[in-house]
Amino acid sequence: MTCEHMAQGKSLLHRADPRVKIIIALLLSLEVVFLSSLTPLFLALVSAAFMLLSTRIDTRLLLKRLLVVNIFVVLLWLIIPFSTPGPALFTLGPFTLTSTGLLLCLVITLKCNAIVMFNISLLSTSTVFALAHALDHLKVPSVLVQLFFFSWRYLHVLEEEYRRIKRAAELRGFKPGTNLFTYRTYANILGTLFVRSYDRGQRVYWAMVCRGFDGTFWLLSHFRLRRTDFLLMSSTALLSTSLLFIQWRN
Amino acid sequence: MHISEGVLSVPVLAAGAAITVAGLAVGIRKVPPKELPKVALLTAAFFVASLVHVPIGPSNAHLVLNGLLGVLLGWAAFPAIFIGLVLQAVLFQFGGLTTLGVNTANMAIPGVVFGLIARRFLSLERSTFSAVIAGFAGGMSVLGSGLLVAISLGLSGDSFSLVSRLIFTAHVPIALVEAFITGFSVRFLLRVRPEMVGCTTPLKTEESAKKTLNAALLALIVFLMIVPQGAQAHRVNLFAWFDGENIVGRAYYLNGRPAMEAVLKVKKEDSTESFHLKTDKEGRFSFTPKGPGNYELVLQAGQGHMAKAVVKIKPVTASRSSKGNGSAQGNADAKAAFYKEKEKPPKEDSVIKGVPGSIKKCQDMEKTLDRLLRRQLEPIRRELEALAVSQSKVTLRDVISGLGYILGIVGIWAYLLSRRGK
Repeated sequence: MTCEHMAQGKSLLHRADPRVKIIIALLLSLEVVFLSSLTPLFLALVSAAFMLLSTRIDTRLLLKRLLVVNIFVVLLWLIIPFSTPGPALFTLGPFTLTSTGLLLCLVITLKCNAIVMFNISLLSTSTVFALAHALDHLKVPSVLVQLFFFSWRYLHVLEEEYRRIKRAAELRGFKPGTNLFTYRTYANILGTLFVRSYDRGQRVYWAMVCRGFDGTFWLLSHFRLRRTDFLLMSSTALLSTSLLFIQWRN
Repeated sequence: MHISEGVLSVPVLAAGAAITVAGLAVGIRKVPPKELPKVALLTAAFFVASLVHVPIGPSNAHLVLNGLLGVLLGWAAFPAIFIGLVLQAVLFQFGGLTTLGVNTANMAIPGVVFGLIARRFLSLERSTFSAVIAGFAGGMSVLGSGLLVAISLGLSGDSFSLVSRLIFTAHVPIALVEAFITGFSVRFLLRVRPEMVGCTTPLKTEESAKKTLNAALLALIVFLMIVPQGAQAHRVNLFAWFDGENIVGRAYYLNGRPAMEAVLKVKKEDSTESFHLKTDKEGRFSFTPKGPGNYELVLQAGQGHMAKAVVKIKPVTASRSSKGNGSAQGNADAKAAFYKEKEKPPKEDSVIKGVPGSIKKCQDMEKTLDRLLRRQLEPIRRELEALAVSQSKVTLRDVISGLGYILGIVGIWAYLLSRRGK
């Protein structure tokens, strides 16, 4: 599983306070959703791209991720220009290409990519542990934070477990196909995975109780706002107000 | 299926976020510290399981497993799915912050509802029956989330109606596979670890059957309420009348947007003759009818949206020479009555005034008056039309009140469940 590759780096965004980054990511994403004209959306996309490039994450990895995100967008491009009522640009048999549909597609593409770029550059540049700590500092319900934290902690363990069970099945000659036998085998594999994780959860709980767990999530790392964080906050404020201003002017 | 960022409209996103916050609030209460590691481990297991690709014919699909999650975790499936989506957003950049609410609600609501219902049927003694019920819940959960995805897209704009239908169709084969996987998984768990699906002691069958019937009925009501809302989201309305010379009218969708470039089929009753015309950018149309009679108008706004209206033109009588007022169905009735009132008095005037002059002069005058009246009434007519449109529009308020309605019913259901538990 390829995880947290993007969290390794020494750029300004990597070093910034995760609390600030979470808030900024939320704010910018919400703002982009509200934008509807092309000019501010272009500006948002350009600034998001600039932000993304400043993280110096491997470009090939970035392009791969953006490609996956855009699969749904491509689907929309294939359908929406033809299914939106509006003035026709040209007709091709039973399909009519409309300019309103094209515009809508363009807006969606810009929004989607801008938001995803903001999210990558702000959220994926932190480790999950840092994010969990930041969420707890931001007063997110403790149960949610702990669920997030624990799920992440055991994700790789369980993935390894799953691979082991599947390897055992393959060694006994299991070949997946479209038949009931395959589905039953997969169901049994998953059932085994669930039983093992359930038992492991029980053991983890006992181990935690032995060490004094009472439901509290103790915070060991604390964050301190630094000059770069204030710089980030002020530049975000500038960006978001200018985006809103341009949107309002249109 | 995830909905990407930037596609949905703001009200839909807000409604999804509100539902998810409510669901999380309930779900978190169902996770005491003692259960926390177990729920977390199962969340992680489901995250891993959802990466499994299962072959379906020539292609393959990854599992959703929201039904199985509902069966195993009940209300705790809400936070589990939420955490799964957050992890996906952070690790794979799939989905993001703004769609988190809608995507969680779309996956978790059917999972929790069908999971809780199925849980009440499961018993150690009838493992095959239990497996069938669980399989049904697994399939329905995927179909239900497909339906919710389609509804969230449909409520965001008319343009998405085709996309939403395609996406729902794509869920059907996945639902079938999910049904098998969920059923077999539950059978496996019933044999190996029955307490995981809440079956430690044999149930009293009579009692459990009564409970399940009630729960199933309520779930059915909730679903029946959701479905027509999605179906009516972009119905098309047709509005037509006879203004003395031409048959004019307007076509618009329920959300108030005009039906642009839609095909209008016109057919005169008791004649086989028919012709087509197209509405303009504002959804308006006008044509000159050939003589009196009943004209049947059928609007085809694409993607199966249809609307019908009948315009009656009374034959001109020699004595009165008053032209019949056209009337169309539904919304136009009130307006037709309005015209009758407004138009008649001046016409009678013209007849009286015309007495001393020749008949020709009288007819000329009437024509001029008609034209003048039409010009003056035009703004009022448009105003009325706009009023009718605004009344039939599905507004944000309607959407929110509809959601409140659903939440209320779910609340009553939850209350009944909690009373039974005591």
